[in-house]
Amino acid sequence: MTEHGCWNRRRGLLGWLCLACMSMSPAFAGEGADGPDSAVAATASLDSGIAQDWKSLLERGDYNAIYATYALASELETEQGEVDAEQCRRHAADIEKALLVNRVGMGLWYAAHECAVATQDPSATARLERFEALLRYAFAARVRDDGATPIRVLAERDADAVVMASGQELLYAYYDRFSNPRNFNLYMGLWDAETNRERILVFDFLDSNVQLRRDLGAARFPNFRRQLVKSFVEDAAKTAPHTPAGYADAINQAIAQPTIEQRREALTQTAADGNLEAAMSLVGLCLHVPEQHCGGEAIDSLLPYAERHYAPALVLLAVAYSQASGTARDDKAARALLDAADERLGERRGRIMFAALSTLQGKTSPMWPLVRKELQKAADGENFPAAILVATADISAGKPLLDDNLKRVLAAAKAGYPAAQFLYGLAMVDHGRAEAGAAWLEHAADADFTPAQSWLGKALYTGKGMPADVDRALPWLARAGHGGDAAAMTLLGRYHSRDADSATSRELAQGWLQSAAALGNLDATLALAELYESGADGLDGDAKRAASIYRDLAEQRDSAVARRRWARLLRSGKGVERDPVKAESLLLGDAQKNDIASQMALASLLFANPLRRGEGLAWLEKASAGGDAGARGELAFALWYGQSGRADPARAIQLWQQLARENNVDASNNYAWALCTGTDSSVSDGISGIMLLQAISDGRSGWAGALDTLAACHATTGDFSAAALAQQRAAELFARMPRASARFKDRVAHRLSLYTSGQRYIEVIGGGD
Amino acid sequence: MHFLRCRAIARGALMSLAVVLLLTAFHPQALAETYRRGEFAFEVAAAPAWVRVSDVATKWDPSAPGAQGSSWRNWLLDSQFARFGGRRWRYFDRASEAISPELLSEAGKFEVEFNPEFQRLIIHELAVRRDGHWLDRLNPEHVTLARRESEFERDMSTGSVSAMIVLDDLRLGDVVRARFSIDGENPIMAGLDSDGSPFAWNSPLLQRQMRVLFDPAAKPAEFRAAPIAPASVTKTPEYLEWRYAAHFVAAINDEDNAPIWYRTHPQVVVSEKRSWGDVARWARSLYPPPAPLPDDLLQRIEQWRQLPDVEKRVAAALRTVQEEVRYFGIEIGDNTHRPAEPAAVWTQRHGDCKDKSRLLVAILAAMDIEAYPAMVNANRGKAIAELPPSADAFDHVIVQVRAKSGIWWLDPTRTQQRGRAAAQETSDFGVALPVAADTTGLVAVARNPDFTDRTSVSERFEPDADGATATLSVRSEYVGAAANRARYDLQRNGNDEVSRHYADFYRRRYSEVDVAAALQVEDEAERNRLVVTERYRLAKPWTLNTGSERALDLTADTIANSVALPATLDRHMPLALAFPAENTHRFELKMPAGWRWKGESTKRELVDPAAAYTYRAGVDGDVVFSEESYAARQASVGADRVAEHLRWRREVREQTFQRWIVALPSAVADQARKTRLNDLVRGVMDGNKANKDKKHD
Repeated sequence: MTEHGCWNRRRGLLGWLCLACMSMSPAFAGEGADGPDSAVAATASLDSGIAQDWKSLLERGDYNAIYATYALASELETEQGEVDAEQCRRHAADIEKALLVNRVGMGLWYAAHECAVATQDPSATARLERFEALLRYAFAARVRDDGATPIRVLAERDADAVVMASGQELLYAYYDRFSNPRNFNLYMGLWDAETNRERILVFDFLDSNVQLRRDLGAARFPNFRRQLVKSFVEDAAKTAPHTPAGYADAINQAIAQPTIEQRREALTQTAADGNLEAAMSLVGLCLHVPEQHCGGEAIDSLLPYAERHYAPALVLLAVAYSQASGTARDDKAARALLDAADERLGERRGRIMFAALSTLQGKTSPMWPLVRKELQKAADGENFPAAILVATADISAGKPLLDDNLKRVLAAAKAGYPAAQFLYGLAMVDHGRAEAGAAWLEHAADADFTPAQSWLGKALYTGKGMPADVDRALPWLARAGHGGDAAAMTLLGRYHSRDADSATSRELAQGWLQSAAALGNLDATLALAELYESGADGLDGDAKRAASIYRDLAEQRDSAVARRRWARLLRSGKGVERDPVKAESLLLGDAQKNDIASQMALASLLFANPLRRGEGLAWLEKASAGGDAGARGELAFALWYGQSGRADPARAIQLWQQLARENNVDASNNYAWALCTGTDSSVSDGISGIMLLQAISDGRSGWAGALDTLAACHATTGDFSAAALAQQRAAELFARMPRASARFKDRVAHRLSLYTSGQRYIEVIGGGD
Repeated sequence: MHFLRCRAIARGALMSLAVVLLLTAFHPQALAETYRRGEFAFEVAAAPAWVRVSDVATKWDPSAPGAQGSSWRNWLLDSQFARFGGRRWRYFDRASEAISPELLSEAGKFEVEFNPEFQRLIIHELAVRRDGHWLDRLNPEHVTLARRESEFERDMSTGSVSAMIVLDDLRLGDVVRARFSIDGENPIMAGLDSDGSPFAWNSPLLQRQMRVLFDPAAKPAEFRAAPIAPASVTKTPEYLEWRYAAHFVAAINDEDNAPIWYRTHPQVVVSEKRSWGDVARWARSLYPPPAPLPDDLLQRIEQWRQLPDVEKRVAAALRTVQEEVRYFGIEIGDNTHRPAEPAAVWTQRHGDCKDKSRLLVAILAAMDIEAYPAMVNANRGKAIAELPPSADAFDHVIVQVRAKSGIWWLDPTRTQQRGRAAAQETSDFGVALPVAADTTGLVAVARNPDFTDRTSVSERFEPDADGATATLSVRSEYVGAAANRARYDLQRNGNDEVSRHYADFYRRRYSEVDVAAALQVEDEAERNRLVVTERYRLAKPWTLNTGSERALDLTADTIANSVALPATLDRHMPLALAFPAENTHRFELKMPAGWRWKGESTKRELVDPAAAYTYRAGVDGDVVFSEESYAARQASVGADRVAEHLRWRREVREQTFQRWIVALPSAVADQARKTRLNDLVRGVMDGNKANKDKKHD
């Protein structure tokens, strides 16, 4: 069994109470209406005073003062975890003050009660009653998702108090480092000798901790949670390595090993040291990397726990049998193990755990048929987790949510299961009942079900599935981000990057992009580097850092985008020492692999060298040959302006015309520019230019480049007042663009002065914009 | 562990915290009343006129240490010593308060030791201050006197008597005050004694005074620890007064494993000015030339004379005095410092340190080997060199041999020592005062030139064919002092008891252990080398037995014990090391065919100025091995370096715990796993069926 200092203390005081609270069967909220309102009924009986205390603490509580109360609680014990009456007497006044500061910390109230008993203080009864009330609230306030959402606590000591009060034997405890980044879930497996059941309780202090640090800017971003957890487990590894937190750090260290072989070895050691999660992680690693042939070792790590009949170990062993990992496939043995796990956990939770693992394997998991029949039967008997899994499996198999499945999911949704609310909401949206669907999705999202938050955020942001509403989208995206959705974080980062002039926006953009980048999201890392390139104040990086990021991504993650950007910086000397040769070699590698963007970038680089412009044109021709619109547009541009050394206006126009027919806006704009600013009267055609721009404008009055062209076209037709008006608007828009150079802005202003004086703008090829 | 068992002589100079209630005597007062308890008596009387009774503060100053957080407070500690007009008289006044209810019983219990042969105990006052009022709690009928027997455990009879007083009805908040005197000093000291007191306690002290009254013409000498303020000196026609005072003294936290010479508590010791030569002259008067030795001893001496060299003759004589003359001291009156005649000691076959030392010197003299008794302090070591020279600075006597090849120091109270004279073990006495005509001062006591203390342990594990069980063979080789200790253990407890003890040691590590062969002992006296071999069958040697792997946990306890962390880690005092000491510990695991060690060959050297440690591990043929060695380089680590040294110890300790993991051949691993899986699934199926049947019922 895992050792933990606090767990050696005496137990059993409130066994009856915890047993009453630990019933894991959710209340069924009734049938009838398919709206989500009835789902809230389950929480109606919550102690409103404690709910208010929690709200007040999370909104206004002083972080340092609250955690000082836990430090005090520790001082009230001997090293063996026994209550120290002398310390209790000495700190009697401090305890009273602490109980006023921290009204909801079960660990503190439990310690205060123990102290009162030890010192025969008359407050013992009142403190016990408060502790009981907090305990009842903790269980009643749980999201009804069969333990998927943890019980909110403030500190590990609170969970410890619950376990001690339960009087049940602690079988194992571990931090789940993988499934839910919003929380740092502490799983505690208890043995209830009276009912012969294994109970799994899940606690989280991370979310409360983050909320209490609301004054820290960094706490707005998910990465803060990661850093808190990292620091917590690293501290634990130093002071108490044989605790769940200490083992969590050991698993972190194992996973950080450079090779899978080393990871496997490190996990084996940690598992052997007494950590169930390490054994489970090893099973996962060996299943996902079958070429490692480490299934046998994984079973060896798991066996000591399975031999003690711990349900998670039995289930994972069943997985090994069903997947023939480390042992021959044996469905009969797998079923026997699942039966035993079901018996220990009750309500088919062994098979539910197994099925949940099978969903991680994707649509065609071979594990599912092994439990389908029993779970279907359980679902028919109103076992909601089973119903959700059956529905999920069917959806994964391409079946729409209909009939009995739909009814069961609705029942589960009404009973408060966020996963069911999400499934049902999506089904409603698919059936064209977007409003009803959205209501269910919002319920699930409100319960911090990350997929629902992601769906809502992205739908509202993009307008796909729901009417676009960015203001509503951003909070959902943020909550999804805190739930670990890197895409949501990146979206938020990019959103705030758009207004890079604002220090606040830059800070937000950086925070979200850093959080996503910390999860290894490539898009976010590239966007973060791009942000750093601006070198704006308040950022953690500059162009030099950007170059370093691009280099790392290019070398370690083989990113062609990163190579192109790195090459761009090398070419310009921004943030790095100028090195066109290195830039060319970076681009050449990808160009030779037919990466079109790299071919175009290489062409651009070669155009800068008068002796190699021909090579540049060849790369551009190659890029265009596949029909890529961007490449063809670039080719037309190069041909028009003679970037290869020799202009070919006819072919340029021919390419632009083709692209314009394909509604390519950039090409249309460029073509219109050519029509309206050229010196060749046979080409000059202001009316056609205006028509081209009208075709692509699509109501976008804010496109400065198109306005600049439009002004030139009006001038070509002789309508200088319209030209001046459009140019004035374009100048205003360009003025707000930090990336537009001063030289360019001067030219925009020059054109405005020409139009106001009734003159056309004629572009001389070779000196153009 | 060997005891230094000859506690002699002094009581006053190095007054320990445990005997703070020893007080000096005063002349009987007019109102003195004597109370008899059998053959012993004590008196109740007022303090003598020369005593200046101090006032106890009415409240504990909030700025003083102990205002909060202390479990015990000393309101007043006052020692007054009269050394004028021929007096040797010690007055003591202590007022203290237990803050914790757990200490109330201690606060109400007093034990005062005195020697009725030449001392009187006079009780002046026993009172309790409750709610600001002093209550007289002295009831002479409740004072008991008893012969002090505790020294019998150390084979000594001292003649001391303990007065025991137990206070009833003591409550939290009570301040208990006790004032006593002890009048008289052992006349054998011839006035060459000293007086002294500590100036800090293990609990906070509000007010401290030490007052010493010398003859008016005396020239006092003092030792005064740095933090104590110099004495204020006043002179009256009757006496010269030196008075030391301190207020608000913080508690001293005792730190374990400090070198014996380190003074943990600041102290003042005073006496009249004299030299160590004066003390040596006094000692010589106690060691006159011996009377003729008995015939049987002379015959033995004649036999030893035939031995080839002086070293062997000395070793033979030493061993005889150590092991044929039992240690027992009757330290009463003159006997506290005057040794018995060697002939009598030999005849009665018992004696204390001075008796045995004088006997050995007499035997060596009979063989024309120059040797002298030498007085040392076993509890304070070289620290006595700082004190004013006095006869009570010593508590033990050893022998100095002046051989042509050098000086050897021998301790005849020890036993089970073997080997050559130049390799004999003595404690860290630091300095000695030889009882020789040419002695003018203390001389350094160096360790004997060939002295060693070396332990080498080898543990070899040989797994059986099935890889589940193993045989463990242990070979321990002890040389020098280590051999003395091992021999003493074997002699005192017997091989069977030691064998059981050793087997239990391995049972704690490997749970199921059977003794496969009886303990074998090979004792090579000439080289003082002792080898012990053990052999065990280990049913469950593996910490980890996963089917594919086995893990063996190993602890080089020989090394780990040498680098054990002291109880106090945040230290301000130096740390003593066993020195010299060399230990090596080797582990071997013989690998069955196909087994593969998953570790890597490693070499590591961890060096500290005070000690060195090396580790190496690797594979030699089919044997995995590790070898660790430790060697002390200094006898102590200064307080300024202790933190760094302890970091080194932690690093070494971490290395001394090893887990060897070996991979089994895949066929063995697969079979083991298959067996366990089958057992598990079968058990699970049986359980499932039983559950099903139960439900049907």
